[in-house]
Amino acid sequence: MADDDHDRAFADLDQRIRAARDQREAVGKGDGADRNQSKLNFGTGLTVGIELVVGVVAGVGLGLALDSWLGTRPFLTILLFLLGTAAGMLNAWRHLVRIGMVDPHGGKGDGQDRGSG
Amino acid sequence: MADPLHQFVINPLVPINVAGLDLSFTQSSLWMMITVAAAYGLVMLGTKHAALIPGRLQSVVELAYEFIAGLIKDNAGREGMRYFPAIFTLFMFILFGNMLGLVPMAFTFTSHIIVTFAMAITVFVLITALGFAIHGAHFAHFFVPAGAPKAMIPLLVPIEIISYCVRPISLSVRLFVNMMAGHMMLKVFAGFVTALGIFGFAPLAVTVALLGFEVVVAFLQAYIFTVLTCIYLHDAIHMH
Repeated sequence: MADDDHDRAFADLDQRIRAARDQREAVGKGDGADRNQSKLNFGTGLTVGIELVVGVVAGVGLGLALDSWLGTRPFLTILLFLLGTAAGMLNAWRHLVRIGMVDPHGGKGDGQDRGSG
Repeated sequence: MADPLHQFVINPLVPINVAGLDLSFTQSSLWMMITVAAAYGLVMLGTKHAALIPGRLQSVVELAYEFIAGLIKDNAGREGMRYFPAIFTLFMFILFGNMLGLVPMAFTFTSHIIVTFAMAITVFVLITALGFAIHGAHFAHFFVPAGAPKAMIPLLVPIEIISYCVRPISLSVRLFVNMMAGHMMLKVFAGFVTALGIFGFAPLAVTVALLGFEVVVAFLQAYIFTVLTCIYLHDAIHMH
């Protein structure tokens, strides 16, 4: 008898799982937007700040090291400072594009597309 | 008041010296071993009696598995699942290291930049090697932005190369700074509790709130490290 009960319970299990999944996905769409929103507020400032600082510091550090090695002070420091700053900005920009805060295709970047990225 | 930086001092437990190299077994090594044992123990215990309807422990392990699998599929694509074991291990190691570091008297090895940098540079070197293994010399084209004017390429390629090479630095600095700053802040506020006597309840309340905040940070930083690893993996596999 117990086996019959189990069979009946399992008979529509697939269907029930599918229904539950669909339901969860429908809810999940809203959740996804919320999650992106919170990610935007929480880690963004520090992450972008670190990307900028690391770019500049790495550029200057590499420039100073190469200058003292090759004896070309201060030209490589200046050059790599500029390139490092650009690289830091590029990384920060890419991070902002990734989290969907700015439109990479030259939109207004007013946050209209938040949560899409 | 207690020195807030004192907690980061490395103490050798078993001094080992090989040919002038200090290979001592420190409290940092000990906590790494505890972290590995805890993560391994959780996964092994959770999958010991694999049941159709999971118990609590099995649910935790399955949740962790599905979380990382989803992360890889979303950020690195289906091909990234080949590297699931490495990424799952990385995530569990950082997560458990961060979380166990919040236990009083514990040592947080992720608050040392050499530890986070070792992890980041390993990820960076392996993923770069993977990129060259998959695409051969063609992977060098990754550094030439698509659709850029020819005259700009001598300027853009060095910028791309630098921006690629600072990845392990920003990856490790982010984790290390968050963990160190959090633990310093906790220590400073905890120091006020005894210093203020009867009014110590105010910093005590702040410390409790900060500890809750640090639990979030501990998870978030492990998550960010893993997501960025997946994104770099995506770059190596797909080259955009």
